[in-house]
Amino acid sequence: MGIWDQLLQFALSGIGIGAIYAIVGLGFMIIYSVTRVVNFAQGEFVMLGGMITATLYSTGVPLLLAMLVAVISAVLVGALMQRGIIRPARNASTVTLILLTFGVSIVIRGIALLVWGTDPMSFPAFSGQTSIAIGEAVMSPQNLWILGVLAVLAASLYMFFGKTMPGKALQACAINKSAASLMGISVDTMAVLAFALAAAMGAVAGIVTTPLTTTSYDIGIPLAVKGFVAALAGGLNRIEGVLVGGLVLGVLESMAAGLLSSGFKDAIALVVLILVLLLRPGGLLGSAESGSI
Amino acid sequence: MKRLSRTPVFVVILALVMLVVAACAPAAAPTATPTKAPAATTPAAAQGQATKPATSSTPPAQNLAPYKIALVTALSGGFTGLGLPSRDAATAMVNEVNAAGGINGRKLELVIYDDGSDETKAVLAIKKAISDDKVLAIVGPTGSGSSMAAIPVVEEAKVPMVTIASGDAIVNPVKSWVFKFVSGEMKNIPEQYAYFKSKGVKKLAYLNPSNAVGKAGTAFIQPSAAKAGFELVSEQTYDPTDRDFGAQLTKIKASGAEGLIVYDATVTTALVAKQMKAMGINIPWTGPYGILGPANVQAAGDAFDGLVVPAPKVYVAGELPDSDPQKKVAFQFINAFKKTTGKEPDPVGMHGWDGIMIIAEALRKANPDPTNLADARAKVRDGIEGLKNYPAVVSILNLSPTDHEGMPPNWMALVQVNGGKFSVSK
Repeated sequence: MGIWDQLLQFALSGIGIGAIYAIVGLGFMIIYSVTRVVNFAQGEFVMLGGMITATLYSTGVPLLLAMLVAVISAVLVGALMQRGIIRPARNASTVTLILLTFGVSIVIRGIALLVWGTDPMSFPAFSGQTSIAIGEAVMSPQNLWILGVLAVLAASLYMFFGKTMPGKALQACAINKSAASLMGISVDTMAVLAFALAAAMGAVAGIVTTPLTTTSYDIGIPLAVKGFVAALAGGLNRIEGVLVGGLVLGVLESMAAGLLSSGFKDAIALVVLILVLLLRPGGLLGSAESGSI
Repeated sequence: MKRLSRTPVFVVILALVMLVVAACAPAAAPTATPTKAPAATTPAAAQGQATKPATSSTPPAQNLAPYKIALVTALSGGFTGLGLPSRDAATAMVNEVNAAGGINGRKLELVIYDDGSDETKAVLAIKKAISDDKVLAIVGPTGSGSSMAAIPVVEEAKVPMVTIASGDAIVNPVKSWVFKFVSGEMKNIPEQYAYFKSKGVKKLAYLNPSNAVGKAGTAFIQPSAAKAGFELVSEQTYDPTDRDFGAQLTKIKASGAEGLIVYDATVTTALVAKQMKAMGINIPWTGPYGILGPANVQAAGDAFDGLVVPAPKVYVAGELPDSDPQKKVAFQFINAFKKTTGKEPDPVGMHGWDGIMIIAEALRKANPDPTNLADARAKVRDGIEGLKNYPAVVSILNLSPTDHEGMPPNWMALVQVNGGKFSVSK
């Protein structure tokens, strides 16, 4: 396999994984920008999306219905989390709130372990498993689905934030909570909305990646870590930043594993994190002018 | 949105710290789950009573004190793939023994503890079993980490322990009270080499996880591959939580490797198999026999077709000739397991079965008085150590004071997978 084909394969693999990181990162971004909370339970929404769909599908429920139920369940969990845990603690410091989300992630994972055990679960890929060959490099059709879903989600978020009233209200909270509340926006409702939206995105990420990677009770942790780095690389507040951050992270990981040593793969996420914090704390694309998400 | 003020950056740095903690969390996750504190439950004993036939061949004698054995295994946490089948198999074995009248007229009583796949819990459970339940022997714990942690405890208390873990360090060097009838990399990998030799492989590659099992495999392969006649052309690793191996597999493909070892027994191997298939990598590959677990075979689907794994003969028990001394005990295990649980056994449960069976054999021969603990425990240990040509489910065992593992070379069958079914590879 020539060097160019190898590089192409590294790039394709990287884009494939990077898209997953980007979708998870979008969830982080939504919650952080509206509530200033880094939600470490974001990875668990991804896990729930995949696990609930797989469970329902295995009992005979049609795939589409199973996915719908999974997303709704995740949204309920997200809303419950905000109402039940984050909101009562809203006067606590940001650090405390972050720790709370960490605690919630452990609880969700524990319950998942009790309910589902450690066995992995999966359901069929959406359009089969025959790989698509590009030269000597291959890509799974499911990767294209993931990229497609990412594009649709990103576009929908743009429309939502830019054109709809709830979206603009969310943006207003993100820019200045007190001013928004003075304008009659219920910051409270916006917070629940943010969590619900992030949970939905997480669940969708889980659903679209499970056919490729299988899912199990503990897939949330590594995804949360990588998704957070992707979101951070996007400055935690810009959609296009998160997309770029996720894809760049995925490709860097793949290239490092391919060209240096596979042992480096997971160190890459943390190296990127440190570099971003040191050199571009406002995100790879620079800090956004106030007024945009 | 201005994002350059101090506070968010500080918050984010703190988040980085927690990220690192979260990244280490996979090890912590099992302990975070609400596992019961070592609860002395005897569901097996209760089951044993329930399934005991109304008439036994030798009526259990006039209230002779029972022989108590502890099973410390992973009923929760990350090692349940090994722990749950072991528990079911051990329970089945105890039921069989008691249904046939017990051992020398005494009932076998099984005390089950959950080690939670955690070293601390395992050691606590073992200590409790020794001092509170006053067991004569221990089967377990699950996993090399817990087993190594338990060694000083049983050595000091002088209680025989048959671990359910593969790490060769557990019996190498030999400790007087510790036994292991699960093959580790020192026995598994030479079998894998032999398979590759038979396929004419000269250029070898490995793709191992960076956890304890994988590292042990890597540490064995690196010095031994050349001596075994292979050229090691690619050495790749992956994090156990990784789900994508495109980069590693690309390098393996480019290296011209003719054979691949994936020293992992988790469902990750199913993902590797799928990706190899997608990338058109058709070289023979193999790994430890845990790859043949039902969860993995199901997840892999047709990606496992044609896979050959050296494994204990129980995986292909149906094809063994009647003259094979292991056939009888393999079917005893399979049938008893089905009777107790109503399901086909995951063969990896054989380790729980063998543990109980071997201890029962030692008890039968020595016939100790269980109320004289020190004497009884020592007799059990001597009995296990003295086994020669003993057909266990895992292999024919030959033990001695310097060999507490007892497996001969070339004792595995080459198991081929096709359509989710196992057969002997021709």
